[in-house]
Amino acid sequence: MNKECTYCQRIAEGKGIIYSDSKAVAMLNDAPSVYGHILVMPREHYPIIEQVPDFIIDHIFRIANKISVAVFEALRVQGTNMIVNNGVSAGQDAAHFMIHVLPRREGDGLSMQWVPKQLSEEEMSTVELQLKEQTKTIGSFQKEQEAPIELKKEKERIKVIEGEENYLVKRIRKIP
Amino acid sequence: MPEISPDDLKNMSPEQIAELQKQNCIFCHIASGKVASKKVFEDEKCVGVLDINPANPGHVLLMPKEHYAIMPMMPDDIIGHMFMVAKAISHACLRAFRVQGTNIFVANGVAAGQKAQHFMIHIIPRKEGDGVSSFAMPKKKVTEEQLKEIEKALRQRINYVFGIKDNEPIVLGKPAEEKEEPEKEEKKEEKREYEDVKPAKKDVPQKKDSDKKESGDEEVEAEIIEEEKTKKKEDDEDEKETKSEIDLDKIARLLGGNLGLK
Repeated sequence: MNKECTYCQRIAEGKGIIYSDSKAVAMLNDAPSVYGHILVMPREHYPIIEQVPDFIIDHIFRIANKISVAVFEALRVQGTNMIVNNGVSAGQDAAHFMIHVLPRREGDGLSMQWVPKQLSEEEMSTVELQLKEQTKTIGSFQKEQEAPIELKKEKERIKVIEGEENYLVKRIRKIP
Repeated sequence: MPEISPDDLKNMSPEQIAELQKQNCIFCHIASGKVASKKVFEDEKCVGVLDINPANPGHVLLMPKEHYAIMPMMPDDIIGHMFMVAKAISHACLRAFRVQGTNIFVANGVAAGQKAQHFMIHIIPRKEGDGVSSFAMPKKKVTEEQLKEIEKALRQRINYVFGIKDNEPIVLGKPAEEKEEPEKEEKKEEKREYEDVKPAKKDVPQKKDSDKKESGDEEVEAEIIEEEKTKKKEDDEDEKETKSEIDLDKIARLLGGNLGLK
């Protein structure tokens, strides 16, 4: 928990929380973009998605999907958006990674459309090559670590033979 | 492809209609390679291609190879897998284009802006001042009553979806995982002590002879420790790899800086 993060504080307080488990929390946004704007986030504090461990990503998006299913039925909407704004330049405004789940209705005033940028065939090929170079390593995903192996609790004792000086003490004496 | 009249459609079974949708889905053809595309990623479950009408250069569409119209129809394991890939592609975008952020966007349903009949995750690299304003979240005011009303409506349905009893209180405060943390630290300390003592022991040959049984156990333990060490090394290497080119902390710090956080 990050004490300066408002979302960590809200998780601790429990206000407006609609779902909670050991890894993920879902809460209502108190400054919503649409009616029923939900935020799904990890309990732990991670600023951006790249810092969130894979197994939490796995879990949290399953939760977000189920919440999206519940939203369809509970609020009788015709669609949902799931948005992650990652980084200040992408419009992220809180230093806690979160998934926005937006219930959508026809004519609700939100537009998630973008103006397509025109790229030449050459530019597209460059982009493809650049990205392919970086996606080569994708494949192995970080799994949740199992509990550490328990080591013997007994501490090793050094036998003390009476009348004889301990060898460790002897060694210390040798040090100039 | 033969023309299908509305009457034919009525007589078809749901399976046949689903099959027909697959045949007509351009993105299924892209995923299977029948239609040419600029593939940037592929594995057994999903495929990532460049959008031909990108919001920004490097706009990737990540889609499942199987045909699913919307996210609620997909099995959980594919959802989990695809978003882990989406995270990795987002990271790849940061490295490849040296951008400072990404948007990850999913639309379920026409009302949400979905255009294709095939589920997909959009990953859009973002730069400061790139003119993409579609993902800005307007902030509206709501009253406490309104929030409570929504909460009430949602809680019931969410509990139903997750199979939680309605009257069950939501567990707050410290989750089970947090409690375990101090124990782990203790274990680490113990291990360190153990390793410190061990080399000193080699100097005493008498002791080795006297407790042969113990030494057998210790060998096993030593193996375990070595295994752990190699694991750690691997982890470290992984970290080095991911942190090699782009400084994630910097992006995160930027975020904190804007909010006056550390």
